[in-house]
Amino acid sequence: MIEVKYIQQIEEALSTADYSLLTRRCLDICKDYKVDKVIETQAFDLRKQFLNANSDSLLNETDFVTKAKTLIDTIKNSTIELESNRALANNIVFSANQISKQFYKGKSPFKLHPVSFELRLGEITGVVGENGNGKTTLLRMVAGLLSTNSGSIEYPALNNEPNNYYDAKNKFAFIPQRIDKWHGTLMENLMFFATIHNIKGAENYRQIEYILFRLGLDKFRDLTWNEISSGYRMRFELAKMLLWRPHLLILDEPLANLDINAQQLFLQDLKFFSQSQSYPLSIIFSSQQLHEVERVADNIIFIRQGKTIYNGKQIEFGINREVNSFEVAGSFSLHDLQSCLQTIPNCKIEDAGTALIINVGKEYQWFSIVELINKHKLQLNYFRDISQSTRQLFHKDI
Amino acid sequence: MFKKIAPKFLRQIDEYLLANYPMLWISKIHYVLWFGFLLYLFSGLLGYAMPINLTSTTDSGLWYVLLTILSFILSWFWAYRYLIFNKEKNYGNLNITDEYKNFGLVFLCVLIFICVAFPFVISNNKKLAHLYTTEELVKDINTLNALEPYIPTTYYSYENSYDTTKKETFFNIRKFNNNLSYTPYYMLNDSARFGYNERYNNKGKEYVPCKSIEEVKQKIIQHVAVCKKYTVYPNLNVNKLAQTYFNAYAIGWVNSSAIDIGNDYYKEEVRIAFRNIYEAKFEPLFIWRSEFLWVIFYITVTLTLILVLFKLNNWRQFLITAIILALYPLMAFIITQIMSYSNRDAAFDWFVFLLYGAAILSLFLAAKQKHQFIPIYNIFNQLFYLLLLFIPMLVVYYLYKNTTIFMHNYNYDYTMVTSSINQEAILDSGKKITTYSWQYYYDQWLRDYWQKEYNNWFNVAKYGAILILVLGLPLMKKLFVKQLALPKKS
Repeated sequence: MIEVKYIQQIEEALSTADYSLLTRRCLDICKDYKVDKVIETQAFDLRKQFLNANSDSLLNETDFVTKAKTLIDTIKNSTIELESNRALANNIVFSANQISKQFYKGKSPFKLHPVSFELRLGEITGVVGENGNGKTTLLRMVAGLLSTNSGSIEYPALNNEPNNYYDAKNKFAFIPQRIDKWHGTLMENLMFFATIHNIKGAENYRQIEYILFRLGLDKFRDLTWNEISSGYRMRFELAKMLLWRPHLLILDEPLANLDINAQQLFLQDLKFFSQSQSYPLSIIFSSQQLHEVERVADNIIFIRQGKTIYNGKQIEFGINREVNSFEVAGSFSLHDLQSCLQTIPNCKIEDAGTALIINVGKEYQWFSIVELINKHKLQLNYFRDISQSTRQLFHKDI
Repeated sequence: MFKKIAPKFLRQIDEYLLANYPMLWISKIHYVLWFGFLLYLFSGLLGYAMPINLTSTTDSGLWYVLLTILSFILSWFWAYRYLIFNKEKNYGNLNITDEYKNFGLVFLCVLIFICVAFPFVISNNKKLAHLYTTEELVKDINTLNALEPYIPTTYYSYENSYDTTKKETFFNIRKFNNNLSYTPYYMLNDSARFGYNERYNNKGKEYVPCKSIEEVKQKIIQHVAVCKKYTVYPNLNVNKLAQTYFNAYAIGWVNSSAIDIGNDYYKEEVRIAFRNIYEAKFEPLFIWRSEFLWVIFYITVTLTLILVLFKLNNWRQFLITAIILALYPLMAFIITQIMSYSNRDAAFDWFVFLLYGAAILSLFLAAKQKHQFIPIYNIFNQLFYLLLLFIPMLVVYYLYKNTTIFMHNYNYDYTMVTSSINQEAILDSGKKITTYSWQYYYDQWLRDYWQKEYNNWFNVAKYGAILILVLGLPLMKKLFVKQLALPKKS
């Protein structure tokens, strides 16, 4: 049977008229489950109708909703099995034990201090930190591109014999920040990547159709490298890698070339792909977009000047904190805010450049701060509770 | 580029191979076969269309080179397409024994490019061979041979003698020296087909003289007509030449400086024409000769290896390997010259062996690598495979040249041998013959035996290296893909 959450998500998307989500998840069902041809055709038709409406014409909503309801009913009344049982296998795909790396950046030495972590199927790990602090170095070590100076690396679920890097690399994908130029058309490349990973014949076409429509790349299929923008290149690269269902996906600054809407969509898709029922995968990616990372990541590795400041579950960050932290910005100065919050004992305010950081006792929740600001009629443009966000690590000298 | 000018059926094959047979698709064998077919057709038609120059093969040689250059340029387009889609560098699924297929496909593609001029040579040769029938050719050769005594363009054709006192050459135009001078050498030897049996008995032969000067003129005109048929145009003054001949015949022995008999260069051209036609008809083409085919084989294998290794390795290490291969012999040569070894060739060989020894050692070291890619091992591993076909032969040759393993420097007892070779014996019939002692025959036998041994071992080295390369292809693949995937230091 199809997971209840799938059905719920689709029904919710239909009720909120989020047709993008609706059509994407319907396609995901076709990939995760052994659906019959009717469901697959309906799901593809629905997605095509949505994508065409976005580009060429307006969506005939009544017709679309009717079709969507029919599809959901068909799915709900079907008894379908999972396409694969990868989720049942060993779920640790990568394990690092005290790995470190030292090298020279120009003339100055750089050291990524020892760090240990594991990557599991179905989980997303975000690597955050400022520029030049070692994020890419860490990802390159995970990807087996860079050797370690100390510690050990293992791919427990990926290679049949230890240290067989080719075997492991055959099962994971690395997308660097600067994507290497590819040759030929997008379609040609997708077919090539599928076929060299043993997805051949009709299945090759099936998987490509799925990924092209799933990521909205259908209209680009016959284009070449020079004909698409850098944002689409990233999406194409993702399509190329997801096509052959890797166990581990490593992405270095994938959001860098995406606009804000594309970022949201991209991260949402990463979450869906990582939690695929049949082909769950582990994802590790680096980014400067801290809040976006925190929204999807299960684990966070925060690096500053080569040292790992935080390495653990995202939801566990700040559990044992002593203060609550808030990030605010508006038409007021530090002094105005200090006057406003003077009634709160041990209240500390720091200037973080574009925003002010308020640190107060744990007993003060966000609404009490907002209430005080409102009371003093300060114009508030931006407010974020960062008590359980690694955002506050950017401001602390630890 | 190939795709844009390919017919629809080829594009359909391309897509089918891409979806089902990635190795065939990557090799672009379908494009090579199709465009190769067109290129071979062009080459063949060109060979047929090209005018034949009977007296020179320079033109066809030039076309051979031009076609090879064209093919070389086209091969770059193919090589580029072959190299950009890299299964190994994208960590695709591997079956180690697939390397046989991959190597075979690349070998075939390279061979198709290398042999592009073959149809040209074949069709051009066929055209030449069919310009004249064999009967016609034999008849014309015989005609010129028969007429030759009456066309005095050189006194060497006649009985001649050098007077050491007068320091002058005299010749007797009544006796002819070479009555088969137009017959190509190989034709003379092919007595079964052409029946020439008198080739060694043609000195100072008398021939039927002409009764009148008109008769001589007729013979000269007939001679010129045959020459012209084979695109050679003699610049002869018939009257003068006939007169010269007639006068000389009347005298007998003539002082060569007293008579002007012109030149016979055009006759050499006629001979070349006959030889070319004969070879086109009856001799195997140079492209089918084993030495030429071996050269083609080694070039093809080496180019195939270069392409395969480029695909399996980082371009930086590949480039360094190429530089070492280019500069090492030069460096070794310079060092051996400076160090004034007694045997410089041997010293050079030792430099090569030293390099190859390091290459063999690097195989073991690379096999032990586990955590980090070491470029120097990789470079030497590449050198191992690139030199594999040649080193065993070089070793055998080195042993032959510089050691006594193949008895090349066998220490004969020359005194005994030489003293025994000039003994003379008189047979019952009274005829004297030279006899040799058993040591002489033993010495001959030893020489032949060790020469055969050397040839056998050379062949073992030659074929053995090919066998090792072929059998070792899966290991080669395993070795290099392992290194390809290993993490790098920086």
